[in-house]
Amino acid sequence: MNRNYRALQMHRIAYTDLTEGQVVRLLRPTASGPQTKSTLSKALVGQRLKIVTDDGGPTLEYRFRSDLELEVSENGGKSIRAGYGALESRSLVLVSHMIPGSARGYKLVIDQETRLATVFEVYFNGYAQAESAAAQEAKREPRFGNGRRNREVQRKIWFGHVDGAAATTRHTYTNRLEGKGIYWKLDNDIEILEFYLSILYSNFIELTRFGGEMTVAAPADYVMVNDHQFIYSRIECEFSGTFTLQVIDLFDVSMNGIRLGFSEKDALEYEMYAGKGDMVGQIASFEVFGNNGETRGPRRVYRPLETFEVMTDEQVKNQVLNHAHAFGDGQGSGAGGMNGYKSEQITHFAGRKLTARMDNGTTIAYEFLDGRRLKWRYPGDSHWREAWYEMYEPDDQLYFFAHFLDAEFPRSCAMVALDMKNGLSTLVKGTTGTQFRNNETTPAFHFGVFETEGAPTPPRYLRHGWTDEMVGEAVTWNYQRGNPGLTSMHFYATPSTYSWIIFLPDGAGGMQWSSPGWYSKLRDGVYIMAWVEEACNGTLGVICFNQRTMRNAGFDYQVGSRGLELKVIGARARHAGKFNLRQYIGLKS
Amino acid sequence: MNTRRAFFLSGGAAAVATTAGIPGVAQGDSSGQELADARDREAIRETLAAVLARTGGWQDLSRRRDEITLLGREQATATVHFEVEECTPLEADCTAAQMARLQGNVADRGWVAHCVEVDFAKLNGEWKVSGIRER
Repeated sequence: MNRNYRALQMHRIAYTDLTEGQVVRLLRPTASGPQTKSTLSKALVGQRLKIVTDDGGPTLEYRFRSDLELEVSENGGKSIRAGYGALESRSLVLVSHMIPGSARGYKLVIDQETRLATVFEVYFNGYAQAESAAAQEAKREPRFGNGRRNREVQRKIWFGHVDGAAATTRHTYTNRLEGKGIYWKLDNDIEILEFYLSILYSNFIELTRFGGEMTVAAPADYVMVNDHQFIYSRIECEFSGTFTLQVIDLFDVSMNGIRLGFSEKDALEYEMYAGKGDMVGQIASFEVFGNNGETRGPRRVYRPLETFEVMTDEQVKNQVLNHAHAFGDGQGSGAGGMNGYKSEQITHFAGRKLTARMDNGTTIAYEFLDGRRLKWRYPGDSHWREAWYEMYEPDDQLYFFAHFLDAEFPRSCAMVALDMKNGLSTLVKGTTGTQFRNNETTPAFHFGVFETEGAPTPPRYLRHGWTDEMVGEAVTWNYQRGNPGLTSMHFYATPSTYSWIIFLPDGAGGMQWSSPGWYSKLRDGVYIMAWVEEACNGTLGVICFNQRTMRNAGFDYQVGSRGLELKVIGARARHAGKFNLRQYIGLKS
Repeated sequence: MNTRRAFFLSGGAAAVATTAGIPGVAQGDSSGQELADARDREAIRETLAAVLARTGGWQDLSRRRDEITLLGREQATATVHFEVEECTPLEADCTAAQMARLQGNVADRGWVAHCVEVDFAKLNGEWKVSGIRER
């Protein structure tokens, strides 16, 4: 597999904020139709088709002059010639063309048997208008912090039929792809893993284009043609703005697709392709039976790059130095947020002295003053520092606690696991700041041992360590009582990333986002997983996940306008399933 | 508890606003007084339904006709049984909560039964709500 690793993943690329004029100019080549290595369909050559859509959608009259050129009239208007491409999948024909000289076009899925048609009306230069309208309705200022996003493709979906057909049914929105994952090998030499874990979003791992390190999430649409053929589309909002539409056939796991957008070098990408796939799995979905997702709500777009605050050096410095709060300043973490199911706090270390000694030299000495306060210092420090801490027991005699490290700047925190059965320890040190944002965080894992009275002699060579055992697992996390309340599903996609999905009120998968992730193993079935919500709110989340009890204990570390915070995570899990994707990301099966 | 009440219209509301089932009227054997009382009661029901509709709707809990007591010709009280869907908002400030709120998720929701006494006064020939008390 040809992997193109990147210095910057999608969420770190500063995509050009193209002007409307630039977009129109860059789109000029689309007038002659898409590029492709696939064999184009001649199924429509010589035909005249009138496609009528519902709900005020367009009426499109086509004359297909050849397999490369068509004439189209919109709503009875003047006929325009345009290049096009068409690909066939059984009775379905996927057609793609743009309107020459404009920044818009149509993607059609026409069923030659049923005469049903679904029309994707796509256009650039539309974000600003949509955002302004949304802002006016919500009585807020429009958000253009990241520009006017003219490069981001917008879409309207129209269900309809070929005029003259007696069709009374329509293609419909659906949740029947929800939970599936497919590896695709495309005829343009692209390999990609796609996961349809929501009815509004999808996530994908660009194996070829981005090296397969990270999964990213994009708002998506799912349309059911029949029980084995589906239309799937996504728009890489917050990134390049690229539009993808695919007709997927689950009988032979094949697809025909369209890609339309601009690369990070602002090069036009307009191509059609075909692909063959392997199913990598099917995980659970959580709607009630009988809910097939036909009447889904609006497909909202999560825009963390736009909505989360970016703080200056001085603002961050002020917050971390003057507004640092760990565990409610000793008053306890309460039971809101992500800790509604935190377990009983461990206080019996009070009075104990302990030294955590990591293999890379990082060493911290502790004196636990009581159940909430400890003293700590690095070797050679003459003075002890006092800090609030909270400690939990995620597995039998396996303890996990955290506290601020305020001896240095940028500020840090220590999240320490102590295995009283073997003397092994893992320290996750969280630090504020990255090269991209000061109000993001960075984790560093350290593996080692600890010493305290009554602890066993630790092994000489054995350590906690990195693991890929969680790759492919999907787990729901319920943070508070309520259905779905505050519940997400984690999808541990690769050894260096994960994605989370927020359930809609009816239990369907809703909004989704992703971040880098780190995975280490403490015991069989017990792991420490960390993530940083990069280019989002910058939070470092670290959980100790016990797969036997299906619950976690953990901490999150965050700096924002409310200060520097260290809080507890405590949630209950359900296993949603596992994807067998290891072979596609270079791991042994 | 920090709660936010959301009112949802359901089929139960319509029963209050209709003219069906006014006792005695259909048979055509009522006295003038009985007919006037029935008309007042029905006007009060329609007023009540209109008020509730303006708040976003409600759901009839009891499936029984609410009690209306006429106090002379210009004042009345009604005992109204209904339920509202009460939602507890998600208070957390984490990303997951922000995303959930964007989708309309709440921490908890449930139907809660209520009973109120509504006072009516007839002004210029129209029944108006003059007060509401929760029982």
